[in-house]
Amino acid sequence: MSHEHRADGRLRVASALLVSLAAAMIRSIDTLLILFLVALIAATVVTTKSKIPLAVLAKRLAVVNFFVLWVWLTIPINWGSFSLSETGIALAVQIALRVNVIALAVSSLLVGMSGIDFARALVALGLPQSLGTLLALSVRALVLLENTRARLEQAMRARGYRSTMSTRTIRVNAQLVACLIVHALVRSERIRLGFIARGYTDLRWPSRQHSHWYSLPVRNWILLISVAVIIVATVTLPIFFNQYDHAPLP
Amino acid sequence: MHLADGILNLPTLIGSAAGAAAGLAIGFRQLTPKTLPSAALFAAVFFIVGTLHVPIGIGSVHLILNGLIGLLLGWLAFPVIFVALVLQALLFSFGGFAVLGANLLLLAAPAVVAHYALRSTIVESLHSQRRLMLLGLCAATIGIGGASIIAMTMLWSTGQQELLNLVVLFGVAQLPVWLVDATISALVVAALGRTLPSVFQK
Amino acid sequence: MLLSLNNVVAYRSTRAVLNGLNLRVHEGERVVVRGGMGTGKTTLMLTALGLIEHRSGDIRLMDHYCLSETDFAEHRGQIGLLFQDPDDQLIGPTVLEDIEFGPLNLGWSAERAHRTADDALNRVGLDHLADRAVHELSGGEKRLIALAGLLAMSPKLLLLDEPTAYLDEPTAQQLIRILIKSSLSMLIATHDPLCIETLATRSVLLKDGRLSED
Repeated sequence: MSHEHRADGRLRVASALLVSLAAAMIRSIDTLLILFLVALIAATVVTTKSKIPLAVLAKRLAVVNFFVLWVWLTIPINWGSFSLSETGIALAVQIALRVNVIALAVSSLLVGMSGIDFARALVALGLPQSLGTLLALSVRALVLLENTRARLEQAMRARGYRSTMSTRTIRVNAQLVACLIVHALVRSERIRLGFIARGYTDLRWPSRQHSHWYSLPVRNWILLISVAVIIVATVTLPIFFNQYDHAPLP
Repeated sequence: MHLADGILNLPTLIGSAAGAAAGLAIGFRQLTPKTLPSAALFAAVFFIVGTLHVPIGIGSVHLILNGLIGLLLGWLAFPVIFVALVLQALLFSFGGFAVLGANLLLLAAPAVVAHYALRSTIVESLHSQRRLMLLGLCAATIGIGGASIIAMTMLWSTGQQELLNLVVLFGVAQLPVWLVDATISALVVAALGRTLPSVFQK
Repeated sequence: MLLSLNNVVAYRSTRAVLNGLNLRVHEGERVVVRGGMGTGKTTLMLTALGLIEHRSGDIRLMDHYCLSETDFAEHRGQIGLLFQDPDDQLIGPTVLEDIEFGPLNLGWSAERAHRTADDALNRVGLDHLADRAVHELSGGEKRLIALAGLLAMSPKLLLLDEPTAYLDEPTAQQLIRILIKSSLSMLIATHDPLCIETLATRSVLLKDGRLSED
């Protein structure tokens, strides 16, 4: 999916926030199930169109569902009598669906969005500039430090280190953390000097989006409107069908 | 330690978001062009630390080290942990955005407490490795203990009977986390005290 | 034979950097690998030690076939790899603690590790830096300390990735003297004429993922 065909970043982030909040509030399992199916189809289509292997999406879901597994092992069980609780099972289903809806929605709505674009979008949506700047800089810092960590771990392995369940592993992990903190501090000082050398005095980067809301092409709004419509439809449809079911026969 | 989206009810989400926003507002004031680069790098450190795992028995434990981060940063822990959580939500779909406020509050509030409870004592203890290790252990205890208590309170406040099971098990599950976090915090504080004591004196 | 790579293919992201590479390093040899920027000299070093997984071909360390991480982990301790950037390699908070890291990984006692570390620090002429914090060292000192960390493990073979890069001439000469004095076999990736002239017993060229004798 090419960059120009993607909706405006602010609206994508707003849509992701809308889905997260809506899913957190919805209690009906029917509604959550419909939302889950819609989100699954959307995520699959978007991932495929973006030429990302589906295995990446599957891996994200696996990580998120590891927590869901914990939920299934704890909530449905009546620990006093060691029996299954119906309300517990219903709650576990609700949580499982909610967690997956949000994960799938975030995956599809924010696919291919860089950390800098994300920071810009959040600032445009009202996040204070200082936080936006911090977020954008942290994205870069993360790449730097993650490379450092990976190379340190490579060097540790090259010097015979193996991670096992032992006090040595704990000591080595502590050394690694201390090393990363020191790297971070030393680097941050160099970065600060580099900033000053380029005339940096204020928190104005990344710059806000230049286009105003009212000048955005209609297709950008289609995404947010579609997401809102889907949510409203999935909330009201089960209510509508329930009313129909309970309607007196002629 | 993260709570996933979908567990907490709306009143709890709103309440914790308000608490987190208050903490962020205080942390903002310390975000200046001077502190920004180190804050960004600490956000990256916190993020990366969360990906390190230590083998324990049949599984492994992820590090958190919120107590240690708080010790070093104070109120800046709020914006730093906020950024790390946002990046995790973006990159891993952990915890989503609705529960961001709750996760931020449970991780950052104890971090700030650790800072104010221990910072002055650390500065006085730089000559003693043993005392530094003990203080690192205290930082982790405040960090993990505080986070667990806040998380358990949030789960309990949803008022759902079934979630009470989760509250107890959640608490028990944090014990190995505390053990590993505390040991590593102790060793890191001692190492920093030995090699970069200025980090505690800012 | 200390190191053997036979028809090895290794990728970095989607690019085949080593493309059917053959290499043997025998005891007593100091083999220099030359090649332009981005030709894969670092990849060769990392692949030889199993730090990057190779797609095909076989690798032998100390005459043992290494097929899995377990195999590599068992024999890696006998080969020392000096990274191009010492900041990637130094993990200990102080100099002595860093040098002890390798010996402790080999299962040596704390006492023996300490003694060996002391000795290694002596060999590089930097015993006065034993308690110095690693981040306070200069670039040249970091390089020498990184080398001391490898020497402390009593390796049979050293893999050196641009060992004299960013060093001033006196420090580069000091490093080369230490290497010659160690009498260790070596595989050296470099294009420094001083290194090639003083160290090489054999020279090979890395191009298009393969080695050819000079």
